[in-house]
Amino acid sequence: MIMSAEINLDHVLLEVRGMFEQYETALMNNDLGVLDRFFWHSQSVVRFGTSENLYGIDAIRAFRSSRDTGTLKRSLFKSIITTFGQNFATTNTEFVRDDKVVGRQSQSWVRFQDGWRIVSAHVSLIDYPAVSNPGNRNLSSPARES
Amino acid sequence: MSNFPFTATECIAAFNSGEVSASEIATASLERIRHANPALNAFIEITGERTLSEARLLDAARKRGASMLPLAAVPYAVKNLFDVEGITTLAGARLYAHNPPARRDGKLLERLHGAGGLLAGTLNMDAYAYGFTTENTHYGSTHNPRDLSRSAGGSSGGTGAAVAAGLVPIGIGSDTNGSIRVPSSLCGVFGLKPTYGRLPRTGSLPFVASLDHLGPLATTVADLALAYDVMQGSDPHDPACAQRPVEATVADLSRGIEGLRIARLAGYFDDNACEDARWASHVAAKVLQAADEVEIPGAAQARAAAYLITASESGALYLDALRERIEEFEPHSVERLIAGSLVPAAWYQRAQRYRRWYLERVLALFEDYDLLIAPATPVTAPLLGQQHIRIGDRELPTRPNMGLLTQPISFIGLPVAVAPLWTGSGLPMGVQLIAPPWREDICLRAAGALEKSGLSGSRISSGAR
Amino acid sequence: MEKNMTDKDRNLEITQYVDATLALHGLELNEARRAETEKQFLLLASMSRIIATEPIPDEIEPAGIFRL
Repeated sequence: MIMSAEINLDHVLLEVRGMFEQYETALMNNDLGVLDRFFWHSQSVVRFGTSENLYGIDAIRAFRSSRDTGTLKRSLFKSIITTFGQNFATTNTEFVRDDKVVGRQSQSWVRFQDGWRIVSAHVSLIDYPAVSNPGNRNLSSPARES
Repeated sequence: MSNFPFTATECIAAFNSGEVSASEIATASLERIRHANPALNAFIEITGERTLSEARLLDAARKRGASMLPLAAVPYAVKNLFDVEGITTLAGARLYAHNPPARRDGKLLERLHGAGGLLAGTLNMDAYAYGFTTENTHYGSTHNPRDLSRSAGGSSGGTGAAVAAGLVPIGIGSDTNGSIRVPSSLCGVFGLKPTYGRLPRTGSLPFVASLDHLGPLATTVADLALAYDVMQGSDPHDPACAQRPVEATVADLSRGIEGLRIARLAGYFDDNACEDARWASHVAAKVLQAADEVEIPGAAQARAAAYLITASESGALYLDALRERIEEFEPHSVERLIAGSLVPAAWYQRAQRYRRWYLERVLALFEDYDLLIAPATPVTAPLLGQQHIRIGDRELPTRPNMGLLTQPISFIGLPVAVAPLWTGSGLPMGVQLIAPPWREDICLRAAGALEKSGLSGSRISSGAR
Repeated sequence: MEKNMTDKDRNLEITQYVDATLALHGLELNEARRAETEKQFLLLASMSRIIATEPIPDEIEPAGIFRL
């Protein structure tokens, strides 16, 4: 059970901030090896991306390596890291991409024996360029009823 | 249960547990259909009276404690080349509009009905099944639910649209050169073209006897496998139907890709695919841990031979009507039919012989692999009326070329499941999961694995649920 | 068709063939339909050329065999 005094302990915050920034650098450089190291190597890890939902480390790896261009360059803002005790943290950030699209990213981090790992992640966009859907149209004869 | 049931699996569970009645499920489906169909033009006839009376019978049977049916209270709809008792079988053709109604349900409908399915209606298609875009001059085009300005694919476009719009969880179509797989890809749903000769064609209007297949479309792999299993079984009334026992697939779905040797198809299947299509093929291959890439020798020739056989058989089939009632024919296909009726026998024979020879060489590939992967369509859904598609630096006429990647496979009757992936533009792109003859179980297991990984899914909008 | 035919010869042969077989089938077409039919037939002819030189062994079965 976490007590309020255990939230945002200085040394834990420092650690997780370091990981978070390293992850961001690796993402911008499309450094697949580093990105892979930061994810929990398990079939239970989940990453909801901007146009795909990926379940398990295999799916995430496959997706990363299939993207030749990597992620669009972006600047982060309003990044909030919160740590709970010694072994769990959440990171939430907003960002603006080079194409002016605004998005947000949430991650849950857990400290395992071999280091901090992302166990759950979600990236989504606002004002996502949606496919056009002009709504109802009047067409030729309506369906027969029987 | 927090959500009203939509998928077949959910409907069966909700009905069997008594939580929801078949009548409620039927009513909900009919409401969705009536609301969405004007914009889609997927349904040509909504058989509301039949849906509700079938539902009432099921509800009464449940009260009496009758045993549970495998497709109980599941709404479904069928391409309008299937015989439905009391309804004229149109096959999308003005030519048939004044024919007398069918006397009885076609064989597959009989099985779906017997399993507790609720028939919601009949669906639009390219006339005669000769097309890949469901742009039907007489009955109207069918619109893609993912983008109403785009084609739903064809010739089972009404089926693809009805399922993708969440109107019914299961739709039945036909596939001669791609007519189940193309709408599945363009609309973003799962589809299955079984092995040639697996499902009986009794009580459905033929197009190309040498190449016609029938099969299901659905929003989940579990539903797809369920519908397929219900429809299986030989039929002495269809001479093209193989005498094979039912080989159920549902129980094995969870095995996924365990033990399967998988390869991605390159060569022809990359050359005739745009960037989105090649991306889908590559990423599906990675997730399914495909060990290799291979090429099918002679795929371009196979497509040419399938094209010839299609033209010749359909032209011959319609020759009498062409002579007497040419004005009633679909303008998009009338000259294709006439030209087909002129094909010299020597060309047709050669195409048929090529088929056997090509099959032998492809079967050799299956000695090393259990599953092959390729995109289902060269491009994502074109706009309705779009005259050309672009593949690399080539511009090709849209209508005859949407089947470029499906034709070489259906030519030799291999079983294929299509799993929908989602491209960066927001439009779906299906991948073909191709297995050796009679191994629909492998196709479905692979589709299930893609679905489970999250890469593939039918994204039915929550408004439908 | 012989390999030393020019394109013009081949097209003339096709036009004559299309006209003759339409007549044989009793199909009377207006000019627009006839022209489109010929265009579609040219496409079929090109499909046939794609498989014309494949070395298919003689013993390969020609089609579904009639069985009782």
